[in-house]
Amino acid sequence: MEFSFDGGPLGGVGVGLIWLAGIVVLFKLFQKEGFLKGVLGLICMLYTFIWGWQNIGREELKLKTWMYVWTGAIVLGAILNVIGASSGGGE
Amino acid sequence: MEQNSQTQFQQIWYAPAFSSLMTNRSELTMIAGAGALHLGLSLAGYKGWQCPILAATGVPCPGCGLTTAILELLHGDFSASIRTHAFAPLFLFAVVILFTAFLLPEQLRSRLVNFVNRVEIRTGITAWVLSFLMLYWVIRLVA
Repeated sequence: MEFSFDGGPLGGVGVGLIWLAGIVVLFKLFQKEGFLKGVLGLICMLYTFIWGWQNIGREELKLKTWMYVWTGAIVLGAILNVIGASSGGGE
Repeated sequence: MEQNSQTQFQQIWYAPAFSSLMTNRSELTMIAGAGALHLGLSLAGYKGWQCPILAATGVPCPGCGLTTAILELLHGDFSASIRTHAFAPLFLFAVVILFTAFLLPEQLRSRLVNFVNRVEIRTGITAWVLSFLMLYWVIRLVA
């Protein structure tokens, strides 16, 4: 799987935010759901993302900010990809 | 003390992690929906879900390549699929079970969940598969 953020430094920040938020949520998944589900989340970060949104209301997990950052960065990445593609900066 | 740690290990190893994904109908719906969307986009040639670990670090996660391998399997190219990711047949099987559980009516779904739950508790198959997957990942990184 290849990830491309065609947004220069802004894209780099987006990738960094996605990674950071993903790792934090994955860490909380390991803590809350145990080892096996944690490994499942590592193999499929999409599951970690879904788990994060499902448990966003649980105050003790403090997921809200991280999930907003993660989702926002994904949306930003999608927008930058579209801009990059439409301006001919894509592949 | 030793018996206590052995019990803890057994609790982790034989935990029914996979069947618990199917227990909650709303969680199952989200997983099946997101999975279908991701596979559909990939089949249509678009980028689906991107792995954040690979994107940020350049190091593939243990699951990287599974989507490509599953698509190759769906196209009937078994050898290419195995070369891309050896666990593709197992994960395709797991995806089929998840979609089956999603489509089944409530009573049949809970019977399927109970069956998978019993298999996991008796055999620890999820822990075995995930352990071999981690080992496979390390070998692929080193080789």
